Amino acid sequence: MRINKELLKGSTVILVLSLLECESLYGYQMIKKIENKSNGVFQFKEGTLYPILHSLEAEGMIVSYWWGNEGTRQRKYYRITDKGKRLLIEKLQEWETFRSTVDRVLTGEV
Amino acid sequence: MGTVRDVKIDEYIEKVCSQIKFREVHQEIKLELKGHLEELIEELLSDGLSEEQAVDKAILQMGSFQSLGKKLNEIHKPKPEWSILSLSLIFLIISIFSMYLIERQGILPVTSIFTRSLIFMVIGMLMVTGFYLFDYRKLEPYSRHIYWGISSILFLTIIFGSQVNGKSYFSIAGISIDVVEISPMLFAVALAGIFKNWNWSEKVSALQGLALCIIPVALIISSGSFSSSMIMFVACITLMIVTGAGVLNYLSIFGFYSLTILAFVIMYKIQGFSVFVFSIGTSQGAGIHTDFVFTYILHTFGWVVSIVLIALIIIFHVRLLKVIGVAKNNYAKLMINGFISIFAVQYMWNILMNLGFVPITGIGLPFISYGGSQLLLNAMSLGLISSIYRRRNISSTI
Repeated sequence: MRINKELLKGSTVILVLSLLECESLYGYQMIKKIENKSNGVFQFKEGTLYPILHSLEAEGMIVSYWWGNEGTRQRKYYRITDKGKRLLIEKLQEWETFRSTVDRVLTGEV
Repeated sequence: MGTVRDVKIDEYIEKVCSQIKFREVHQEIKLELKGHLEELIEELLSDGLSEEQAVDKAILQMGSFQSLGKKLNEIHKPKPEWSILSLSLIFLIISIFSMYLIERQGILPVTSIFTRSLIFMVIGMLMVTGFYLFDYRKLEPYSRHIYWGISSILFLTIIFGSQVNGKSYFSIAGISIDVVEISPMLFAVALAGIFKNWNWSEKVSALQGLALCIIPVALIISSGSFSSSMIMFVACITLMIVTGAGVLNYLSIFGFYSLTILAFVIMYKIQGFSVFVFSIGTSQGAGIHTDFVFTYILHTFGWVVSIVLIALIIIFHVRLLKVIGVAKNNYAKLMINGFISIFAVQYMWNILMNLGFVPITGIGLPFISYGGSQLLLNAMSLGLISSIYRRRNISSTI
């Protein structure tokens, strides 16, 4: 099933931050990881990922660094900062509230 | 090497970058996007697609160059560090206002101090703008040239420069420049580039590093300016600490500095100048000195204004420290460290001197005391700090 683009857009930040919480990654890896973890349901347009990464960096949530062995391709890795970790906790709480509320409304429980 | 593939990728990336107005980020964005596309193409090729199909699909997956470029342009729009700039503007306005009152009340035996301050303020603002637009990374390759250039000018000034009240001035075309007083700022710029990757743990290079710190301090001492030598000394120690020079090195330069000062004091005592520190510092020089502008502000505007001013000065330093935190380039971090140490010594010493806690030396209040070359140098460092802030996310050197 394809997911509505707008729905995915709203959760990109939380997905990116939670991926980076475990390890530093570069853009291509992030897309692959999200695709694999979601069994191919989340298919990012690469074009949307980079603006998000760059603006998260401008806000100080993540930092980037270039890394690569001599002679091989240099890749721009991103690492989460403490500020970014705090944002992730906030986003996770927000998400939890949102998810449970939607569930409650949909299943009609009071 | 598929050339068609490269041409197509480059064309796409060029189109993305053409939307991004801040050109200095282009290089990193190009590398990042190119790496991504190449990796994607390799994967598609191994899935069995033909080269042409793979390239087209990869670019398609990237999305339209217009929306990507537009979004990146929005993110990379340079935003000046307004808090630092407005704080220094406030200092300048306080300065101009005080100079106006000083001139009207006829406190100093000069008539044009207000007009001169205004002219220097305008030139200073132009300099800030100029350096803000200038990419500070272009200075780094010239660090050694700057270092030896300033050293030579200092040396020549000491030997041939005009001596006014024990202080050396460098005169050219009728304008006398207080080279000694402005040299610490310039040395800080040069040493930031030189010490960026300095290896202090190796003996020979540690000794060289020490010599590179001692030369400017020694030159400034021999020019007769105790205040500037102290500023230079603190800037050197700061740069050494930040680059991890180790205790032994700090102790050596500290030992050198205290011994030299001691030697000077004894020497001057013999000649009858018992208060070397005091006499050299208070030299009036060729310019006009308003080192006691803080006392003037205190008397004219009262305690509240003075305390607010001190608070603003503290905020100014905190904001400068923040720039070190966000800047990625090590050269930039070092340079700001040097600037902060210089500003901090000047502000602290001047205010404590005005309040009578430390000996009187020729240290003015940055941005507030009158001082042509000094103000322009402060404007330069402010411009460089703004230039660094504008390019804070760029880690690469030129």
